[in-house]
Amino acid sequence: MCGRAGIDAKSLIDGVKQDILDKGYTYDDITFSDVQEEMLFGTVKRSDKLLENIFILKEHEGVSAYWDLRTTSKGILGLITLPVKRIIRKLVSFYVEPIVAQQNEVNRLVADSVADLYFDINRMRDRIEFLEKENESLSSMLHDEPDERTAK
Amino acid sequence: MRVIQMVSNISFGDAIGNDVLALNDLLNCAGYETAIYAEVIDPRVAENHTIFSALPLPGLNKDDVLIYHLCINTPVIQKIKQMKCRKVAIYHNVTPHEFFLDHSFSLFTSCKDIREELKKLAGTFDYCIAVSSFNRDDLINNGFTCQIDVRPILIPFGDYEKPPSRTIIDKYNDNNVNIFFLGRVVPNKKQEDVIAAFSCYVKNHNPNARLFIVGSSEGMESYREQLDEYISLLGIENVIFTEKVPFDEILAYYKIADVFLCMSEHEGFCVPLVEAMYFDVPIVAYASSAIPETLAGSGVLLYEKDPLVTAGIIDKLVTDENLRNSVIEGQRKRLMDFSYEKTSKLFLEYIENFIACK
Repeated sequence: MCGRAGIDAKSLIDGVKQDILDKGYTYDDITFSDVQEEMLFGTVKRSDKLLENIFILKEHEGVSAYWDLRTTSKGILGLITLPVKRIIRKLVSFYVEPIVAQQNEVNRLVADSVADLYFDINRMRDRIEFLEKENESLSSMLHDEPDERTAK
Repeated sequence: MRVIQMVSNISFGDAIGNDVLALNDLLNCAGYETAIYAEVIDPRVAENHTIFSALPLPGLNKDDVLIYHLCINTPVIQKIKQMKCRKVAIYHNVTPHEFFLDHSFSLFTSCKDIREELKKLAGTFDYCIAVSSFNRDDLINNGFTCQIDVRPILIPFGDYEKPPSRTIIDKYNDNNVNIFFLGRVVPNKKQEDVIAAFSCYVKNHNPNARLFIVGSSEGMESYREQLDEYISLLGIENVIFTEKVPFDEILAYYKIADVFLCMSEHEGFCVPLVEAMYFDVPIVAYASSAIPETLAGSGVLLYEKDPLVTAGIIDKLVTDENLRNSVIEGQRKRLMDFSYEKTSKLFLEYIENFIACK
């Protein structure tokens, strides 16, 4: 690492803070979290049944080509069943694996698309709600305002 | 023996994609047989480079080396566990999923899944390279016990010598102050804090300043709407969202920028900081994640988010030439640590050591 020629950030910041005090600057603007709260865009209705289903869908989107190999046979049959199953699995893997991979990709895309649609619907629903409120308040302001001609 | 790289998504102009391409050239020059595999391939990248589809997986034997760029969860991750070759991970970090909950379900689940998957991947890789110590610690916290070395992202600085967009320079290179931030419009990058600081700067110091927020908001439309509403409620003008722009325009924004302002709360490395160093743009950044490490004492690092203070610092950097020069001087020294020669040498040394130690 090279030697540093950084500035003394602490005294710079302290100087700026003193300046702010001297000049009486204050921050009383609206904050971003106020905007988020007011607009309610995209707020997730976490109790929503659809959302629960989406989580379940996401949980099960990936399927596996490999189940546990078991046998209920006993004796010699029991001894040869498992190796035979393993051989069959190996033989068909070239065919099964790409199909499962494709299916998983489709499942992932479906789950993500449903979820994104859910978010978009929520966002638009909230946006409509917000605009309706705004519209309502503007309309009431308009009706409350006395007509300029009659006021004169 | 082949050394191949695999990445989920190779996009044009993206930091990880650039790293992959630069490493490929480097490995090629070092005499290795190489190839790049990706699940999603940007056609603009494919125009000039040969990129193979990651599925079906390439056939690799046990002497081959797979370098996997770990950043998001994809079906391929499950598959590489079964591969018989030697495996190296380059870890670019994963954004905490909580940032996306209210904005993109697919990103939320993708980041959540990879965080959970990371623990299961701990035994998969024989060796890891992290792009920062912050990333290395993240791997260790997730149970990785293999050797982990730190190597910064390989940045081909030669590309920055290309001509910048004249249109942008002619339009904005005047006496007004230009504040600049480059990065996707996503909640972890905290563009709202950049806007809040800019609002204070405009109101208290310089009403004619401009803020350029350069980066795509694709998939983050709700966040972008909130930012637009925030700007309108703050009553400020001159905030310019460019969305995704061509490379020559990015270069032009660096050329016209007076200050690079980064309020991000999660970065695995933060390439734009190094780019700002390259273009001699003084940096003001919030000390989160890997940012203090990338700056390493250069720029101006903020440990608290107070828009008034941030605005005051911007003003000092714009008006006090000595301060500005000192900051730029510090940044130039730090930039030397990221030189292509240094970083590429380090990478080759790491990979050759790994190949030699079977």
